[in-house]
Amino acid sequence: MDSRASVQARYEEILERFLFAPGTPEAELELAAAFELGRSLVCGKASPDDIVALHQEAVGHIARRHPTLLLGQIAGRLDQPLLELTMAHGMAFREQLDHRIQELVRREQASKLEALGTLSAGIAHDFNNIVGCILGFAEMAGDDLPAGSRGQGHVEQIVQACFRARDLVARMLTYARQTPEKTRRLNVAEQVREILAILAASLAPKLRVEFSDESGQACIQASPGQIHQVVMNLCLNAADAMLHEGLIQIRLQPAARCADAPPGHRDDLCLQITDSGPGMSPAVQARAFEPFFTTKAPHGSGLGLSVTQGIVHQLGGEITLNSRSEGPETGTTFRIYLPIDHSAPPGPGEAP
Amino acid sequence: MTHILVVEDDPQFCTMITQMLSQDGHRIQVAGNGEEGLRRIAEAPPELIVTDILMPGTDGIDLIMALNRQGSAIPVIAMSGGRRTIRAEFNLESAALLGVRATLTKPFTRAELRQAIAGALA
Ligand SMILES: Nc1ncnc2c1ncn2[C@@H]1O[C@H](COP(=O)(O)OP(=O)(O)OP(=O)(O)O)[C@@H](O)[C@H]1O
Ligand SMILES: [Mg+2]
Repeated sequence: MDSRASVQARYEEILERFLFAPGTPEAELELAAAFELGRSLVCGKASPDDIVALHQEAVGHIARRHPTLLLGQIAGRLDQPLLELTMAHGMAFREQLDHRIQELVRREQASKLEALGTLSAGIAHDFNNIVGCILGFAEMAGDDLPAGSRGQGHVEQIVQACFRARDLVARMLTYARQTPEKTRRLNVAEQVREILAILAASLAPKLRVEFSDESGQACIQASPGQIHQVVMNLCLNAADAMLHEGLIQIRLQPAARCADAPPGHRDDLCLQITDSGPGMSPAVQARAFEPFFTTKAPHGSGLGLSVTQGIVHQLGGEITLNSRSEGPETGTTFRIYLPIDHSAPPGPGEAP
Repeated sequence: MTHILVVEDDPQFCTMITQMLSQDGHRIQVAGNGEEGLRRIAEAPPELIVTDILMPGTDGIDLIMALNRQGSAIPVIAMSGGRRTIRAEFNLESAALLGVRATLTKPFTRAELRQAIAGALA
């Protein structure tokens, strides 16, 4: 990044050349140079005030160097380069901002690693506006009531509740942005039950979920957040596919019992999630795990399955997909194979 | 009494802030997005602008940049509650770089709003 002094010198150079070449092709070149400089200033986080200061200082210097010229003459003629400078700066700012927003969206979506995060990101949308309305109207109502009245006491409670809501959302979003915790020995069936309890609250009433646990208390090495994310993404996809009515079957069993266990995973634990939805066409199946591939635009991010696959691979496992979109019995089955942790469970006195 | 232009796309939030400011004796005009805001400013320049940042179409950042280009000296207060994956602080930081007088994170209290206005007009 250029230092302030060198930017100043460069800009004065441009202005001076422009001043002494009015209407020539050289002047055009200097305007283009001013434009370029304006673009580059954005990288140094220059504000519009900084630019005005830069210009004023430069004009002052030039006037002092050329005592024969009137300051008024100089300043008037140099409006044009200033305009180029500020326009370029504004355009570059907008570009950089759009770029930063895209980056932010991409990063935060890719790191939505907690099940809670998936839910909270959904509700945080517009939530602050809503709480803002409640808070504002409540405060106005309170100010209209007689001081110390019972009504004013009630309104004060509403205001306090708004603060709690605001803090809760902030906490949920912070949690959603956390990097995954360290892995530990986890009983998968227990985790699945916990997630299903959360999920049940958000599913349509006619969507049924069945869980059959044949895992024999098998454990794996993972963080609860990772398991939540995997199960949540697959269940939400299943629920999306079936709209209002249908059955999601979840089964946990030794991979040895699954006919299509991939090589190297026959001793794993297999988590199977089946829905009775319309299934996926071969074309959709081929792209389903691609990041940003979605048939649910503009609501879907297309990251659910790619994040899920990423986590499964991180855990040393594998994920497979079977889907039928034609014939009488359509539906989709995802199977996740995860290496079983055969180490001895921690004893009573040890930390888990 | 100050002539204030409120630029906000959420109608209920707009009603709330308009009433709050009117009760404090200010004269309020509203616009539902940046473009409408710029039209209102051209018709009758307000003494203060309170604008949301994320709005469909011409957003708050565009609005502030357009004012900067026009060399406007009208003080601006930026407010934001963020959206889905875009945090409020992120927007407000961008607005601050463009030289707004004050920023407000939604939800904010009446006292915070009054303080921001007093600061912006000082
Ligand atoms: N159970 C399913 N039944 C039918 N189609 C599915 C199923 N699961 C995934 N798909 C298809 O795969 C696509 C990609 O799924 P993925 O979870 O990656 O993204 P998404 O669900 O579209 O978006 P997001 O998960 O961010 O909400 C979906 O848009 C859908 O077309
Ligand atoms: Mg999905």
